[in-house]
Amino acid sequence: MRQAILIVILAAAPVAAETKIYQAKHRPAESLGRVLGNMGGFFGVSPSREFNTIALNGSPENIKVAEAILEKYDTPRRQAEFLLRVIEAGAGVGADKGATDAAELVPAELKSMLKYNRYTLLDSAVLRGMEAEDLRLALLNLNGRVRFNVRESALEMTVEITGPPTNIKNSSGNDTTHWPSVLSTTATAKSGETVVLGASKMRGGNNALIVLVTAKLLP
Amino acid sequence: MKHLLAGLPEDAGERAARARRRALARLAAEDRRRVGWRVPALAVAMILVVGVVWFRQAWRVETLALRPAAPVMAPVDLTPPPVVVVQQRRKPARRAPGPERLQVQLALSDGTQVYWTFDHNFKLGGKL
Repeated sequence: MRQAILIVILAAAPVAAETKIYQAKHRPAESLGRVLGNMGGFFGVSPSREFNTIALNGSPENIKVAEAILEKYDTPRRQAEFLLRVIEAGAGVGADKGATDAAELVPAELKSMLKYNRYTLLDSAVLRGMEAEDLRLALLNLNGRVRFNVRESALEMTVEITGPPTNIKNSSGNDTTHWPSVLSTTATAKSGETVVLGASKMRGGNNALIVLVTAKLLP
Repeated sequence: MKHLLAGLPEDAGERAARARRRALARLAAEDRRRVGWRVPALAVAMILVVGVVWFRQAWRVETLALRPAAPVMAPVDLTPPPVVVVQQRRKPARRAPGPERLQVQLALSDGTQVYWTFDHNFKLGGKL
């Protein structure tokens, strides 16, 4: 009986908790905090954007585990370069006057699957930026955004392209500016590889947008 | 007394003067005794009278006459209510449900990855 009481008392006794400040070196503290926040709440996590630090609160063993996780993810951000070629595919005879024929850029196998016979290069852009940053893209009257993360030497990128802004009326009857989404895709590519992003209407349509993205990790 | 005092010789004059002073002092004390209790008593009586009169006036509560305002009834509107013509909303034509957006990922024979989006609302915005 005495042993049982002792066990109950020891189990209910609070574990000695300590607080430690981790100084993030490369990554935003809030991003690292989110990584720890998904671990199941073995320790308290309070990131500070102002000082780029994370306050850890928990038992000494749990804090050691948290620090090991932070060291693993707090790696230097990589820099990458993206070459984007924006092509409009359409049905017709040859390219428009003054336009650049981009049929050679589109893989032949893909062209054989598509019904289009006219490929016009609309614009090209080179973006260079750091990991987890928004790389802004402006192509004629299209706007875009590229964001990437490096996972095991592969680039996981999100490409979003919006069309020209239009004014629409909301439920209150007021005009609001709307940027219609033309393309929004998450793709994975190794350094030096080219991926093809495409968008078209659900049932055919007269034209399609093809974006060739060549990603390259910089040292 | 004045007549007696005037007819006495000089040795008796001093006695008479003393007697005269004693008599005058007795008269003064008698006057004081006679007047001393009447004035405060009169003042207290007057205060009591004034106080009683004031207290009675202050104690008296005026009774207010109860005159409630007569209730006014609003005139009843006897005009018939306007007839509202309800238009039935036309039911929208039922369309077959279909996906708004479909993303397809395919790998070409040379390993090129293709991510194609079929969008119901796809529009390039006219001639770029």
